[in-house]
This record gives sequence, structure tokens and C-alpha cells, in this order.
Amino acid sequence: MSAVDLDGVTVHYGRGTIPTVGPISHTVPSGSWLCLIGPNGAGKTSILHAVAGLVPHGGTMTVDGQALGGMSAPRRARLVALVPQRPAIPEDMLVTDYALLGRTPHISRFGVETERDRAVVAGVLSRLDLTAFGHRALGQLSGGELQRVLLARALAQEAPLLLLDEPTSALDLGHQHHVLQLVDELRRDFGLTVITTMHDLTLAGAYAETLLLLSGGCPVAWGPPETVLAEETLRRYYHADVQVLTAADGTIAVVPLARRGLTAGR
Amino acid sequence: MAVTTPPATRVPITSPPATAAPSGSGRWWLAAGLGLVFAVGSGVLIGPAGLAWRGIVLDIVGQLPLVHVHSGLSSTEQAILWQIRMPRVVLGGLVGWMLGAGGAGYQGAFRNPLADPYLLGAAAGAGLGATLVIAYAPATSGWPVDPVPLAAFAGAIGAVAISYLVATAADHRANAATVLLAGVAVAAFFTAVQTYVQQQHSDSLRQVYSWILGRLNTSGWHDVLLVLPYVVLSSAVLLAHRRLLDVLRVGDHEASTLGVDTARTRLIVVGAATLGTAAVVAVSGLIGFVGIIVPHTVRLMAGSSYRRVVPLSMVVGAAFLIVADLLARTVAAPAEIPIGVITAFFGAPFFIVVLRRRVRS
Repeated sequence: MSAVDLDGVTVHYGRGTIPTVGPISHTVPSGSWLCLIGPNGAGKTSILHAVAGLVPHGGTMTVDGQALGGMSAPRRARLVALVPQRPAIPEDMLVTDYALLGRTPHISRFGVETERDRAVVAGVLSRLDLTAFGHRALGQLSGGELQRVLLARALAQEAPLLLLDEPTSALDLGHQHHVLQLVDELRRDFGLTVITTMHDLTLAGAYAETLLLLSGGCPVAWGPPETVLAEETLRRYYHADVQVLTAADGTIAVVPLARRGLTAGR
Repeated sequence: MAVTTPPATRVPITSPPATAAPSGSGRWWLAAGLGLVFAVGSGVLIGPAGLAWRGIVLDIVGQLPLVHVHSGLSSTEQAILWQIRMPRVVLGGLVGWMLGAGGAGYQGAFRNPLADPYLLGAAAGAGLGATLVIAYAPATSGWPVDPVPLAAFAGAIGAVAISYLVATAADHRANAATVLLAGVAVAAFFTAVQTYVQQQHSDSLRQVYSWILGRLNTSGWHDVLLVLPYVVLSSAVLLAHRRLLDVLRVGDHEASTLGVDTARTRLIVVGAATLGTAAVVAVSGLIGFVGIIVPHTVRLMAGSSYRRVVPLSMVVGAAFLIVADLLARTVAAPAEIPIGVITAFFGAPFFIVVLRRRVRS
């Protein structure tokens, strides 16, 4: 079953008739992980924003068979949860209150949280080892803790599709793996479909089942990591020298090479 | 506190809810309520007429059904109590209530701690409306209704409406920053016109000036009944939006991914806050500082969630203004100090003390 279907999706900025991003047609199977990769300005974030309904777009998108176009904002938010790359953090808001914001699409306009809303949030916080942080202010958290709290808010939406925009860009090496492992576990536990953007190609290859390489707003290569992460492809679209190393267990590492000298030994 | 080790197996998403409501919330409600009772009590008991406290208390108790006591107040004293002091305390409470709530609403709608209910030109518009009437229609005593509050009300609503229209013409999504900048421009324009009119009619300067500084001289219960419906309506809308104001704290982008129509929410909150503010400003003049200081004091003490900031700002605002008015009419009695002077003169140092305590802790 396909969870997410993008059909001729385009995003326009400004007045031009040529779309800035797209057209993109792609199908993401239910419960799988797609990672959008590509150089800066390739349109990765624009696509996430289009799916989340933040930018006007052309084409059609469906999630679990339901067309997103013309859908009310709360209904869409019950299907799609987005963790932005640079979220606005109200520093004195408590972790529990912040996670409860994720219940907004489930609460009527003037309603208040029900017991069930609180139970969902408590469950999510406990799953992310955040129960002890419930009464901490967001401003007191470390980068890794904050990233988990952002995930908690998104999970509280109980949406089948989770969009993560550069989830690891603010984290150190260990926390990058920790967060991505967590996302992978949550995906399996809750049957989520995940679409991320990522700059780190090694991490992208390690966690995503499918990579979609964008360049100039258009898809130029897609498929499993071992196909997309080819030296020739990356060199052409990133305009950088890279070396792709494959370990015995199939793990792929993409190593950027400095321009002078280092390539000589190959 | 013992931190339990999370179980290794998958936790069902509906595990029991975490206990404990936000701490200290009840304590602040109690403090604010007691503050209001204290303010109303002293506002009613103290005044230049020197009524006997015992008589006042007995007279109020005597109003209760089935209670028959003789207060010992003369009919003149009773008139002072019921037709002058009481309506003035109630009006002060309503004005403070509304300015506190309006400030909280504006700050939430614009995610801006410096916002107050006058941000989009409500004060400038009210000022211009009042000035125009005072300057061009000085003999209004024979009119069936006093045109000054009417013009101030219309001016306040008009200025905010123009700010919004200008902003949406420039940016159809009515971005918070665009609306704010439009408000600044409209307020400056209205103030310029008002200053010009004032210069041309220097004979009315004193009257305009005293209106701008704010005062709570009432004509019995008339003003109270005039503003009450607006304050009730506006408060109801603001209270209904207090959860959404918390959602807006993560910014328009993220709030809309949570399913909130941010532009509409902002418009409704600003509209309601403006309606109530325009009504109270029309009868009380431009009492400054309350809309900023009250929500911030509440925030510093009881936390920043709008679920608490909106209702507590109402109660604290009411108490604050009643006390400020008490000072305004007693400090230099029999003369009255403009209440706007009192709110800033005593409010600012108080706010600094609260701020310092908060930063230290």
C-alpha cells in the first residue's frame, strides 16, 4: 500500500510560470523512510513544506489515499506532522505544554485538552524518555533533548506521515545517531511513514530505505542508497569530490575529499 | 524524585497521564482574587467624604435580600456611596480588567512582549476622535449623548481597522510584522492630525490634555452600563482563544502545520481586544501602561502560558486600576491626579521590583 503519493507536485515562488521546484512524482510505500538529498537550494525543504501545506503548490498529493488538496487545516495536520529545521522555541514553555501543542488538530477550536490528549502526550513523553523532563522549560534543555521534545510534539499529532527537515543539523555525532535510531524505532513501532531531508549523505544512506536526489528543483536520481550514492552521481550534482566507501556489512560512507592532493592516492 | 527506568518494550501510546497540574497556578489565583477583594474593599471604604466604615459595611449588608439593618448613613451619604463611589470602583475595575486582558491578547496575537492594546493605533484614533469633538463641537451639554466618548470609540476602532486594511493590502496573509508596522504608521498619522488640530484650537488644549491623561469621573452607573456589554463580549472571546494563543507562540509557520488558521485567529483576537479597549478608553481616556505592565507581572509570577495570563491579567488589571484610582483621588485630595500619572508612577517601580526578583530567582 502506498502511504504517500506525489503526482506532478510543483512549487512556485514569485511570478514566473516555470515552477521553482518540480514537477515531482513519487510514491512512498507505507511505513518506509524516504530521504530527500541534494545541494543547497535544490528544493528539499520546499517539498516538505508543500506536503505540510505551508506553501501553495500544484499537482496532487495523497496520504493514505486521502487527497490533501482542499482538505481543512486540522484534518491535514492529523495526517501530516512536520518537525521544522529551525523551530521557534518559546524558551519558558514547559516540555509537557509544548508536546500538548501537538494535540491541537484533535481539539475543537475553543476546546481544551481531554484526558485522552493528556494520555497520548504522557505516552509519547515516556516513549522518548522525557517523562522526567515534563516540567522543565524548553530553554533549559540540551540540543539532543530539545530534538526529542520536537519529535514528541510531532508524534502527539498521531499523524501517519512524519516529515523531518534536517533533524540532525544541530546535533553532535553521537546524538545524530541517537535521534535517527529513535526515528527508525518509532517508525517501526507506530507504522509511520517518514520523509526527511538530510545533508549528511552517510547518515541518509544508513537510515533511509530510499533516497531521492534533487537538483535545481527536479529529481535526478532515486532508489536504494547503494544506487543513488554513487561517486559519479554525487560529483556531478554536488560539484564536489567525494569518495564512497562500502563496508563489508553493506554500510555506505560518503567522504568528502579536499580538492588538492588527497585524490591522488586512489 | 525517583526517575523510573523506561521499559524496554514498546510503550502503548495511551499510558496513564502524568500527574500534577502546572504548579503554583492555584496559589496565584488565590493571590489575585484576594488582591481584587482588597482593592474593591479599600476603594469603597476610602474617600474624601469621610464616610464611617461601619456605616458603609452595614449599608452594603443591608442591600442583601432578607437582611434588615440600619446603617446610620444619611441619605446624602448613601447617595455618595451608591451613586459616586461604587460606580467609580466598578468602572475602574472594568477598565483595568479590559486593559489587562487586551494587553495579554495583543501580546499573544503578535508574539511581541512590547505589544499593548494601543499598538495598532487605538489610542491615537481615540485621541483624534475626542480632540475633534472637543475642538469643533465645544457646546455639547445639550446633546442627548455625550459625543466625546462616542467619537473616541469610533476613532479607536477606525484606526485599528485602517491598520489592518493597510496591512492586508500590502500582504494578503496579514503577517504579524506587516500588521504591526502598518499600526505604527497609522498611529503616527493620527497623532500628527490630532496634534495639528490641537495647535489650531489651543483654547481646548487643557480639556484635550486632561482627557488624554485619563480619568474615572463617572456619571453614576451610566458609564458602567455603557462599557459592560463590550467588556463581557471581548473577555469571552479572549478567554475562548487562550489555548490558541499558546499555539501561536511557536510562530505562524508551525502553528499552521498544527492546523491553526493563524491570520484568522489573530484578526479575531485583535478585533475583540480592540472592541473592549475602545469602549473603556472612550469613558476613561488614555490610561497608559496597564496593558503592558499587568500581563507581564502576571507572566513573571504565574508563568507564561496564556491559559493563565489572559484570565489572571483581567483580575490583576482590575485590582491594579481600582487601587490606582484610589490613589489618584486621595493623594492630593480634594484635587485629583490624572490616573494615567498614577499607573505609570507607581506601576513602573513595582514592575521593576517584580522583574528583579524574577531575574534573581
